[in-house]
Amino acid sequence: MMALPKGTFKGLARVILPFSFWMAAGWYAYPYMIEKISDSMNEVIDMAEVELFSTIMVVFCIIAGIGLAIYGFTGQDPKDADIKILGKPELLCPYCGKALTIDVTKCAGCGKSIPK
Amino acid sequence: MVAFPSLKPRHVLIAFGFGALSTLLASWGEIGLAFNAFPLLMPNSMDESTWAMILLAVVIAPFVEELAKPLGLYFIHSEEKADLELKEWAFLGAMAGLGFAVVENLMYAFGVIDFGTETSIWLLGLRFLLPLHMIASAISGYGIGLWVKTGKAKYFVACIAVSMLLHGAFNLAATLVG
Repeated sequence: MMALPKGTFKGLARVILPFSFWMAAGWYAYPYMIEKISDSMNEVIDMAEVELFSTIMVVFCIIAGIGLAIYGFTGQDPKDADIKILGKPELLCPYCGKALTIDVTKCAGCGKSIPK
Repeated sequence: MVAFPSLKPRHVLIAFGFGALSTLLASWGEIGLAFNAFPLLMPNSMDESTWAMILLAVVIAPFVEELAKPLGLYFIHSEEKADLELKEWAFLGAMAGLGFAVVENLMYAFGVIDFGTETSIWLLGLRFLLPLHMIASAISGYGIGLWVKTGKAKYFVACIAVSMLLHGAFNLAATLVG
């Protein structure tokens, strides 16, 4: 099975990045909102637990956002052709059984020439 | 749209609209799957068992919702044969998630209307502050993009599995913390 080219998910990282910081802002506001909701429903909630959880989630979302930004905005996106080549039919090396694309002349596994 | 050159407004509308519609399909699907796949675990009343609620929130809901949300994207893929970039598929996925979230959040807000309008508005605000559906659907949308480009559904299956795991983990955390 051929692996996806390096950096395939950079586009996804750039799309998700703003949502990560949006989510961090949401978790920051979470205890306040939960308090308002529980007050209006006359329910008692352990706020210490909620605040601890929301702090963990804020930190997690910010770290995830920074990670996504570094991954998404550094290096180059793979070319469309590099991804489309994965769709080509695969063949198996007659010597070692490694899966190869149809256009290769030499096996990447055992190094032997592939007969046409 | 400069960032998404191949995307047309109708693509966004289809993704958003079908995402919104899929909320109803997912609701029926979740109830149907819960009572048919796990009949012994499901109580007569959904309020009776905490375990049944956790099963519903952590396993069944992510599975059904993540399959239903990209309904518009399946349509764009099969009917329009749109030649979009991978990031555009992810953006369409996020729009499908937004459509789903709008309807679901409104349903939740109406569900607590008996406690007063204030409760509904706070709950609506809280749910819109946590864009889980958009993140999960963007991953699924990216998977559909990889499927379109390579012709191999395994990439879509892998991406949708990741979005289901993310959704399930989020629901588990939210259920445990209340």
